[in-house]
Amino acid sequence: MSLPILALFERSLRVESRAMGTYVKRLGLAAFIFFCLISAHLTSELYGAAGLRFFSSVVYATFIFLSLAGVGYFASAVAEEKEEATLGLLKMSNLNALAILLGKSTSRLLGVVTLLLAQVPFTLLAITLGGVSLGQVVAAYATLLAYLLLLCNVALFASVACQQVRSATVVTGLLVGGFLLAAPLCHALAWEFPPGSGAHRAVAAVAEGLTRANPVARIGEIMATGFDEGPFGVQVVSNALAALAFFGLAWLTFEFFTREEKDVSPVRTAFVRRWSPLRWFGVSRPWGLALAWKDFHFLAGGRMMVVGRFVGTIALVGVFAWIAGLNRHREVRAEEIGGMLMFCSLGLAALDLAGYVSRMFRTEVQWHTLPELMLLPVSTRQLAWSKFVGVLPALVPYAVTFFLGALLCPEGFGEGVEAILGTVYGWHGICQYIAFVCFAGYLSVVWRRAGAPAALGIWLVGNWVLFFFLSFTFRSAGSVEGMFVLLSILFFVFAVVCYRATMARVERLAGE
Amino acid sequence: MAEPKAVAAAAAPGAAAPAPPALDVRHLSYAYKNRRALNAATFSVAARAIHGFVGPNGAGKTTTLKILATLLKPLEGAVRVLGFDIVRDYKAVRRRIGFMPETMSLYRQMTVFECLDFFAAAYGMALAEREQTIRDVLALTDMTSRQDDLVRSLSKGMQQRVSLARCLVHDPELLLLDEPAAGLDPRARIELMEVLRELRRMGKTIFISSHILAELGTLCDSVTIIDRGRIKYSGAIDALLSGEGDTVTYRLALAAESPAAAEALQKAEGVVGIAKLDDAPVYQVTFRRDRLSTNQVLAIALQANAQVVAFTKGVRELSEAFMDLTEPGVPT
Repeated sequence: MSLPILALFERSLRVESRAMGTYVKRLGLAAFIFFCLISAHLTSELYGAAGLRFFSSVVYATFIFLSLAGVGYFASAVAEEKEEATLGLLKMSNLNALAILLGKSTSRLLGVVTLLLAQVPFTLLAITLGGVSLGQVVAAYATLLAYLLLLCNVALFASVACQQVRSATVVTGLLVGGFLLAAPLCHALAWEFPPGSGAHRAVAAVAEGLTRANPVARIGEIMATGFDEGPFGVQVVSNALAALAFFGLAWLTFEFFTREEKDVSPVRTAFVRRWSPLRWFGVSRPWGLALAWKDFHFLAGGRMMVVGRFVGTIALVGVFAWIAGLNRHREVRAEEIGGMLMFCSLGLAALDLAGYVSRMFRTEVQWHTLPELMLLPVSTRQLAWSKFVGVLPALVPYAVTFFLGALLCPEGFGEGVEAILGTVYGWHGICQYIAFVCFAGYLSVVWRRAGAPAALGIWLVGNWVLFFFLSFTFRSAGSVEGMFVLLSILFFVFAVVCYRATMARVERLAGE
Repeated sequence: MAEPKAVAAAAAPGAAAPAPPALDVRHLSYAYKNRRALNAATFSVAARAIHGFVGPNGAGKTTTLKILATLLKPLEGAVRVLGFDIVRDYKAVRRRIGFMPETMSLYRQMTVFECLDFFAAAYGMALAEREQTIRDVLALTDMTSRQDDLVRSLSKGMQQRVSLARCLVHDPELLLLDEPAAGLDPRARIELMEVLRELRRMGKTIFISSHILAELGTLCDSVTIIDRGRIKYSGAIDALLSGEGDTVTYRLALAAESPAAAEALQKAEGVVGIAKLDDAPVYQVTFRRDRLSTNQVLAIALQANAQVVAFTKGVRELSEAFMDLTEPGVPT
């Protein structure tokens, strides 16, 4: 007979083992490892140490995939019960906080751990291929497991503290991202102080400690030739202890955060009454393009977030300029700031747009408002494009900062435009981005959770695989440009397929 | 592109064309994977009528409503809404209908006014026109005083009113309401029925699915009963309740209990059912009018030595008709 504390845990495992998705993931993993083996074999004549390259590809790809897809997957543990208003029912049963945490989070962790361990027999082949030792394999998996443990428990705490999966995902992303970036930032900060001073030594010591706890730095050490440390370094111990601390924190604060069942329906960025002096930040009367109006104000954050995006972009460029100044030991020139402004504006706009597209229909499905929209006398495509128009005013701040950058660095602007619009590589980048956005949009209506981060993870790994095979095919033909033309066409076709599949899926969801 | 024309029923030359039905459903079928939800359903609804749509859980009511609202495409059969084909002319249909789904689907982060304003704009209404229309629907649904409140802050009954107001904001000719009274308290339910009567007076056709049969019985002009995807009855509600269809129900009051008479009636060919009412010796006899006449029924009772006190045509409740026409148990 099972213990009550493990009841939910057992159930989750049973559900997971019956789900088709579990086996699809394993198949995908096997296919990926097979690809890594082939790529190591094909490039062995060129580079040597085939085993090390095979192994490092698997480890880095696993790390990236865990970081991107794991954030949303783990962060939904308790928050999804809150969104569906079922957490109260769980608490009314015989399950205590520990049983709920174990059932909702540890079962997911175990699922991913089994996925990770399934790699081990294959990656041991790396030893046979040469260039990597058993100690490196064991140390790399210990690093990944410790990081996974940390990621899962940070996400668990965020999931307990936040009311919605989305906010839990954002908090997890910020905490984990902050942890990964803390070491390089601290190293940069140390140079703010005169070398040899107490402050410099203190910050450098913190930076050193953070580097030793950083999984990226640790993987780098493990992959270096001559690695002969044990598997349980500072990173493994510190990550595992931090994971334990976050689990304890989630357990301790569980009752506090879940005592009352709160309304988790969407909240607006700013509720400003029509007669308030701050009404400019509020919601205007609907425009002729009503759907665009709705999505601008209620999905893209409205005017308040327009200001927020502008301030955020400037602040980010400020941080970059500060770090650049520290590294170069001189004042940053106006042209350099201009370049940063253009780069950050484009990058943030691309991220924002992809995020928006992935939420465009997801939120309508989540809050059961899709049928209402589908009843409007327009086709599904018109509906989608009207919604898309809603994000364009939200991107205005990026356009402003971009042109501000162009004014500061006209040469960089000219070169950038030439590089993007005047070369086949630039057009390939545009086609690739469009295809990615369409793919993220499609996944968001197929998967309930974390469509966008999962799309990014799949995209990066898939791109790598595709690029590798095509580069081998075209190497003999000697036409790199031809390869990029073909890739651009492929991505464009893929984008159209994703777009059509998304429209069909949305129509189906409206009728469910 | 020009708006498609509604197709009216064919009329003889020179004769006044009969008003086309608001809903005309012919041999409609639909299936979810391998489960058939609708099986050759055929019925029609007259314009400007309140038509009830009843059936047990899983009978196919919501599927039918979603097809009528153009959210699902029929597997087989033809459906015309206000003369327009729902597949080919779906935009024209959507412009003319208001659908209130069973699951509350409002933008809860908007205020009541914003929500209605958004839908009015989405239906292409001009700014000046919107103001007046919203004022009217708010007054009709008695939500004027709450127009600046966030939808999420309203009670379920009030959200139901907002949902109804949202359906009305583009002045549709036909309202499709799926369980509009579900979860409402008695007062809110009665008020909702009043609003629906008022809407009928305004010339709207209302197609309402509900489990609250007592209220539907008094509200509706006509009714369709559906069970396991098949239409069991569709027509005037009076005909159903007074037995003007294939079967008829009479009340037989006796001076004293007569099990022999009850047994004789039970065995008689053409008698569909006999039920004893309350503690008094009163029986409700339902029989097929094409197999038995009232004289024959009375004769059977008298031949069994029953002392008949009264023999009157009975009027059924909608719930009784519902129970007679639908099968017990959960559909598989």
